[in-house]
Amino acid sequence: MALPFLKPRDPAAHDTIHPAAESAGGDHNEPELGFEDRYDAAVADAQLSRNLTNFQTGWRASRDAVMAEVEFQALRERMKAAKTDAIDNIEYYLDQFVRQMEAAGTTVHFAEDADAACAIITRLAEERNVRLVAKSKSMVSEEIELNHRFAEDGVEVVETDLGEWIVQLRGERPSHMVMPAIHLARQQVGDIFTQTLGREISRENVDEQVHAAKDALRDVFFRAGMGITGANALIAEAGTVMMVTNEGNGRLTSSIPPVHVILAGIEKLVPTYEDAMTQVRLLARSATAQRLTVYTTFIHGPSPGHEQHLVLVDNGRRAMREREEFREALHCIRCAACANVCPPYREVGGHVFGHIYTGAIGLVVTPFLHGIDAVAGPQSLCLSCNACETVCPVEIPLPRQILDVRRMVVEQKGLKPEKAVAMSVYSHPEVMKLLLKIGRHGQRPLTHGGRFMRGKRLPILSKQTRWRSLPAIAPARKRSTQS
Amino acid sequence: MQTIRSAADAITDKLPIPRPGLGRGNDAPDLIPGASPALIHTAAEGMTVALYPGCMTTMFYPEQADAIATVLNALGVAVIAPENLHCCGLIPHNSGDAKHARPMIERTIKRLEAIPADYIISGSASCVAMIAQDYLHVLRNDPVWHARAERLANRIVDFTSFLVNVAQLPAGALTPLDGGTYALTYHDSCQGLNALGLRAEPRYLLQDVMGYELRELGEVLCCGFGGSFSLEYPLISERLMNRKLANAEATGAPLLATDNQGCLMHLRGGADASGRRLQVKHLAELLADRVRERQVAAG
Repeated sequence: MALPFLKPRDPAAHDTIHPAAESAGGDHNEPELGFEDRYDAAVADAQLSRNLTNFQTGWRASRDAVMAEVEFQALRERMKAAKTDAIDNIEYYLDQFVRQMEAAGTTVHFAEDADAACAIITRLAEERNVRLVAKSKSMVSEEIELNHRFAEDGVEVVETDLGEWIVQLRGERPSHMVMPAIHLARQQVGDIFTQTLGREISRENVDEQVHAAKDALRDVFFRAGMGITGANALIAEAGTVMMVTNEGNGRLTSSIPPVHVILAGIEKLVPTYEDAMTQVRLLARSATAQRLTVYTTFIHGPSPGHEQHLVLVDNGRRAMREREEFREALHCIRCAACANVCPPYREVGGHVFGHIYTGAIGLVVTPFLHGIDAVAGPQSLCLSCNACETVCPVEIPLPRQILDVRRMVVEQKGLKPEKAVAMSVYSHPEVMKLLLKIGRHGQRPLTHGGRFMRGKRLPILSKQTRWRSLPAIAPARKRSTQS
Repeated sequence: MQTIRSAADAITDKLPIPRPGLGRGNDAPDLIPGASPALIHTAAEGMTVALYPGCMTTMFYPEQADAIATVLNALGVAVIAPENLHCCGLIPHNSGDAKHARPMIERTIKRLEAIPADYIISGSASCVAMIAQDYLHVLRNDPVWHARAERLANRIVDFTSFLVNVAQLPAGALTPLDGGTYALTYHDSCQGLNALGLRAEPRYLLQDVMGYELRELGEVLCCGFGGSFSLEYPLISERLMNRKLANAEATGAPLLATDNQGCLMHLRGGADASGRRLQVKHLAELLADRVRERQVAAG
């Protein structure tokens, strides 16, 4: 069925749709690959690692430069204090926020879980006979898999954020919370545009690609019966939603269709406008290395003659709040800086390093939002380098929380057998002493008295040692130090 | 799978050897050398410290523990070398294995708190981050152990910080006697840089104290080791390592220094396997070489 909205412009398009886009709404109808398969595919894709390495190195330099203009440590402490206050007193601020939102004419809905949130929104669409929905970026909509639900109802959803549209066309999920298509090179974007639009789009000229997307998406805003946006902050003192975007599609989505639905997690609260300003200063710098995003939109009630609904989603957030060691993860402002410095993320991308939320924060929130199975594989990719925590604009102790998640995974699923054996042995100093003694003698044919055991000579673990010589076990000595 | 796991524990539990934290192992005497006269005068002169080398140092690189002792002795610091130390628990802790981590943590606390020293010093940034930071989180719900961990956390310090912040080793103290300028590059270990916040400290030692020409690596990046990560995900580990070695090579420096045994083992092994001529050394080894040079010159 894909993309009938394109028909008036280009009737030929229908015949040239990329097979991946055939799944309704560009959503994920095919059975999802397991973690191991996704991992294998990612490491076999040399382009992916190149794309992400270029992105990470470029981002790091730009982010450091733009962050040097402000007092990062002071700002993040201020932001952390604001979010701590908001989350510690979440019911108070929610009440304050909702009352003023309602007074401004917005209908507020509460959704306990993903199903409830989808049901509220699809019912709104059904009651108003909406056939086409325009969406701007919303991670919560990904979290609740709203597109999928709309597709089941035969309602077409079009992502109007460029990156989101690209992954929608490819039948993928966003691989990054801020830049959904960052795993792709421009040539891959050119290819999917050419296939979708039925005319040749440059594989090299990004400007041409952007204009092609603009042309294709423009009238969706006018034809859609409903516009769905996310929220970057819910400002409690004012009952105002803050949304930051770079493409302008956010305000088109929020203001043109007759029905506007705002979808937000309850943790998006900040107490005051001043806190929202602190967030703006940190968010753009941390996310895209900008001082400010192109558009910063404040929404307080519907546009005249329009209808506005706000859907506030819990979906595991209150449960996470009750777990002291994880509560701070609710302070996240979704800048994705943690993914941008993550070494394994660089090699495998967000479709492997995370579930729907990707990067370090994804590993922490996934068990609460999507269950322990969804995180069991991805969490094992964290190598505890701690880089994420150093750039987090709200100082979430991500490395420590990831280890807490890992412990939950091990408690429920156990260690891999070989690891369990190794740990059991290693935890006994005297067993280790004995093994080292044996190893000291046994290693001789491999070390020839030198300091290395070279991989080519090792009978086992060749994948682990072909590229890295192991150190020889040092000779026994009476004392570990000689002074 | 469950059977294998329980079998491993059943076997190791039944071996006629002491359990961690119990038995004769902990009572072995420590080596307490007399303080030697200071070759370089610093604020640490007259102090007594204990060395926590970390299990990798003990197993593979005992000469690096020697190097630390050599440098500290040259500052007139007495170095206790405790016997019967074991892994601080980092290895199971990082694998999410709380069951095996806890006894190793308790054993390490018991062992180290019993040593009468001004500081516990380690040349392994990972061990220091584990003991000074992770212990407090692991033991947060156990007031007695938490208090013990806190006291230990206040006493343990990495070798680099000790020299710069405690001893306040003066600039120029260990420049080469031949007056030459030698180039090297430095790999910030993740635990050193990100967990302990060491950035200025190693650079001060290399540039100001030892007079090296420091050629910075092009990017801040993990070496790809990550302990058991490199066994579980060798492909990612190898790619990150190769990038790090290529970055090091691009500086043109013949020597790569670092402050963590995990990175050192990984990068040294990678340089060897790929036939690179890059030397990989612990910061302490470079300092100790300069101390020895001075000791020889002083007769």
